[in-house]
Amino acid sequence: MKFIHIADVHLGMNPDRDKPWGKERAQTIRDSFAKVIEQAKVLNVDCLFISGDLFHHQPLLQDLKEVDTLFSTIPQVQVVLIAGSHDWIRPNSALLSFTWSSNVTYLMSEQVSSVYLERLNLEVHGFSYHAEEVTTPVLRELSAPKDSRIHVLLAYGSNNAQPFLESNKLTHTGFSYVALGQLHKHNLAPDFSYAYPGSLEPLNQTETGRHGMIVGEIDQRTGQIASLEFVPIAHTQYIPLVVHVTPATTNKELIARITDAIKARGTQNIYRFRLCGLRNPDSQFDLKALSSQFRIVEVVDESEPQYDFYQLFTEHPSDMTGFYIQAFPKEAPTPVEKKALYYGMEALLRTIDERSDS
Amino acid sequence: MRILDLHIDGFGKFHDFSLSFEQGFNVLYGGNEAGKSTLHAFLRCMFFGLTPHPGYTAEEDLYYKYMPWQTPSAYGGQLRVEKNGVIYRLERNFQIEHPTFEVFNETEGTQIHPDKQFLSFLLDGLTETLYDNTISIGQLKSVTETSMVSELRSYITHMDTTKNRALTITKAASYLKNRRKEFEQQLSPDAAHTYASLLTQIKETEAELSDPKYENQLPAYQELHTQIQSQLSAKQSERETLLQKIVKGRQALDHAQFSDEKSIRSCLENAQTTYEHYQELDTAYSKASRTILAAIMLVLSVLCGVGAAVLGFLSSRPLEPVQSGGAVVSVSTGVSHYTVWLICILSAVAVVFFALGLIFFMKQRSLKQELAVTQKLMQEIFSRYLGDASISEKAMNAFESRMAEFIRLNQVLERSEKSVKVQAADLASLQEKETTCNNMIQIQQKTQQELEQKLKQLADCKDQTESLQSVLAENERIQGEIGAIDLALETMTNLSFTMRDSFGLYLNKTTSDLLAKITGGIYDSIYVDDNLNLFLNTRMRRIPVEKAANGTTDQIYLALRLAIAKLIQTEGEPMPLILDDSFALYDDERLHTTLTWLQRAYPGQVLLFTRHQREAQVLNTQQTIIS
Repeated sequence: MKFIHIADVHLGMNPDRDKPWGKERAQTIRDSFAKVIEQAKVLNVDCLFISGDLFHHQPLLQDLKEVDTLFSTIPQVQVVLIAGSHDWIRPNSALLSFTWSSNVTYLMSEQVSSVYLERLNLEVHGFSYHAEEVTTPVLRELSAPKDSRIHVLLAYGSNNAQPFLESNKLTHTGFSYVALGQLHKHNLAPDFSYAYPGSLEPLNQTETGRHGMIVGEIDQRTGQIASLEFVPIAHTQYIPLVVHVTPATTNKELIARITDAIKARGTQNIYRFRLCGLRNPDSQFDLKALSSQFRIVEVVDESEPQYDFYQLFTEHPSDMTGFYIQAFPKEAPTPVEKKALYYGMEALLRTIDERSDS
Repeated sequence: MRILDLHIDGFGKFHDFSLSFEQGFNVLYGGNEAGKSTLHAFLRCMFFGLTPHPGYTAEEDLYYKYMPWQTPSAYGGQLRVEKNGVIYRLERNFQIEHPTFEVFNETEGTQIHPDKQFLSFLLDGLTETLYDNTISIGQLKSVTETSMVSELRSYITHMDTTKNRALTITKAASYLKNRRKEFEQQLSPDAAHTYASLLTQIKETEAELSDPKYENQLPAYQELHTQIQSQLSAKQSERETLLQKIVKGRQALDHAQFSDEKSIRSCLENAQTTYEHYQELDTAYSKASRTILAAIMLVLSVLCGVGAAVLGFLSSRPLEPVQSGGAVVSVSTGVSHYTVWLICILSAVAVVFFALGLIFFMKQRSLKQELAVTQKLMQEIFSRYLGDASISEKAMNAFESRMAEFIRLNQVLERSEKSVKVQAADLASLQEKETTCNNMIQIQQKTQQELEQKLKQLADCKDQTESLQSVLAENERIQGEIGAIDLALETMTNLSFTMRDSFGLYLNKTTSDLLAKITGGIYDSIYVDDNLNLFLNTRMRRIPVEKAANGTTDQIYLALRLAIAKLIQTEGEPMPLILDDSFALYDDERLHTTLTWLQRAYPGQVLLFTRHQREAQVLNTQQTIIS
């Protein structure tokens, strides 16, 4: 029995909405979801499990129709899905009156319920969120019925799943596989008994690394996971890069280095740069020129001006400059103190003539 | 000021002792207990006096410590100094009973009133404390005595700092303010407000959407709709069947020309009556009696007629009048009277019988006619309702049961028609229900559409808050920069006030410069805080002076003392520097560096008391031996 497991697709989300590439990102999420459906066909899988947060907001009728249209293109694939904390089922949800294609099962109950797929001898269990948070221990002491069926559990929320995973040795619960959702970084259990596929596309700049789906296979005879692997699908990656600067680094050189780094890793990706090291106190880095060319979500300039405070104090022991240096703690200054020291130094050194007697 | 010479009448171990000093460096050598410190103390007491201290014990009190060993009455001496080219002689007797202090201007040969003003003039403003902590140097020690700190502070406070450009921050502050402005322009000022109002909007919309009116009841209504529809279609097909039945029945009745039960019953009754009549007629007609009776009557009439005729004939002959009956009675006068009567009676009877016979015959004939009519009627009835015209009891029974069927049919039809009417009402109510249900579904759909619009808005609001979060984070970052700039400005502004009265402003540079010279450039940076605590600046960190190596500490304090002395004595020949075994802890190299620098650089007189020979050697000078 081959399956694809995804979660946290967040259809309808607009990551980086205020950035020039924002519109494209929303479309990318839809495209990647369509790609998963396509892959379900290509890989000839039997099931598609979606462990919550397929939608970023409460889905509208139109959203359901769009998704169902996609599902209807893979009639041979049994789709089972549940609701997570973003698309939790409200009493006014359009889901409640929606009729899915025959190959789709939405496990809508807030208690664990199941669907038996006879052709596959597979019973898929799961529960949906009916609130933003679920605090009742829904999964406590849950175990699969002891019968000849293969049992798979769909669960959203690490606060639900984690105690369950920890307290129950999965082998004892009788589930062949626990398809989890909520964590946006993929995470496969060493014994393949459970997995978080992570978000399909990275959804904000903290979601670095590769994103995609999980493809697995359960041995029909033994009911054991035969294979499980993470397959990248995401079109875009958030890539954080640290750039070390020295007092010799010029703005031009920095721009060239960053340009090279981006080109080497792909211009479709979104970058976050952190500048570290010591810079020439007289130079300021201005990377605005790059923002129009590439997808740069943030540049954090943590580089520090290379001041020789010892030398400066020795030169200015009894004027504002020297006193200013002494006014800040030399050891373990807070970040604000450090910045204040740098700003003040810059100001004092640029206006040094007003304090010299000549 | 320069010290020329001294004469001790009695002070400690010294008695009638004189010593004169050179310009520049004077090395005064003496072994342990030779009296170096006593001489040092004598100099100090000549300037500032010596009186017993009420609170001190005899061991602690310098007055008793330096009381002359031999002649306690001669407790004191004289000191000659030169200041601005004028020689002054200071004479003191410390004896508690008759303390005296006299000052003479030897150059002019006058006596001077030894008031505070004179002393301040003579000592370049050095108070006792300042003297102790600057030019009069014993074992080098910290100069952070509280009294010293406050005296120095008061001194500094009275200095004119208006011309000190070191404090100017006008341009620096405006530079910082410009930087601040640049950052402020990068702020999105409305972000926080927008964010807050979006959150409120989201909260309100969510509250609104949780209203039960938006609950999705479509499944319930759709279920109800299905139920109603199935009920409706069942009812309708039932009605259809019934209607068809009714039509058929009605047709059957119409065909039989019945409109209602009454018409059937009247038909039945009519038939029954007819049939009865027919039967009666038939019975009557079929009875032979009447025909026979008519025949008999006719026969009797004939007989009577014949009898009358015979009698008439006979009466015309005498033997036969009796036998004639009839009309010839009058004619036969000879005929018996009775015979006439008989003939008449017989004729009458014959007429009566004839009439009777005629009547019977006529009656039979009319009966026959009536029977035929009735029979035809019955035949018509039977042939219409039974299809067979033959009249019989069986047929009549069949007719009756047929009529009974019609009656039942009619009753059934009436009932059906009634129930059709009820069904129509039921259907109407179901249809009404369906309409209501449809309306509800429409309302639900409309509500759902409305809901979806609101959900779209809500999603948009949430999206906006999500992107605003990054704006807010950026704002926060910028605020952090602005905060840092503010801190820089505040620090600078505060410094520009506090520095005015700070020791560092006056001492950091001088002390550092002096230290660099004393140490031959090994250390060149000192920071003096407002408690006169000293810190040695190194590349790595700021070291409190107590933590530096011993020799270094001494050098730093020497530098500070000289710096303070220099600060206070702004012009003229500086006060003599009195060093009392100050370099005991110095190694040779350090001593060499310090002394050669002092010799070269100190512009005033230096009195160096020592118990080592090495100072004189280092300085390559003569030393005065004290014994």
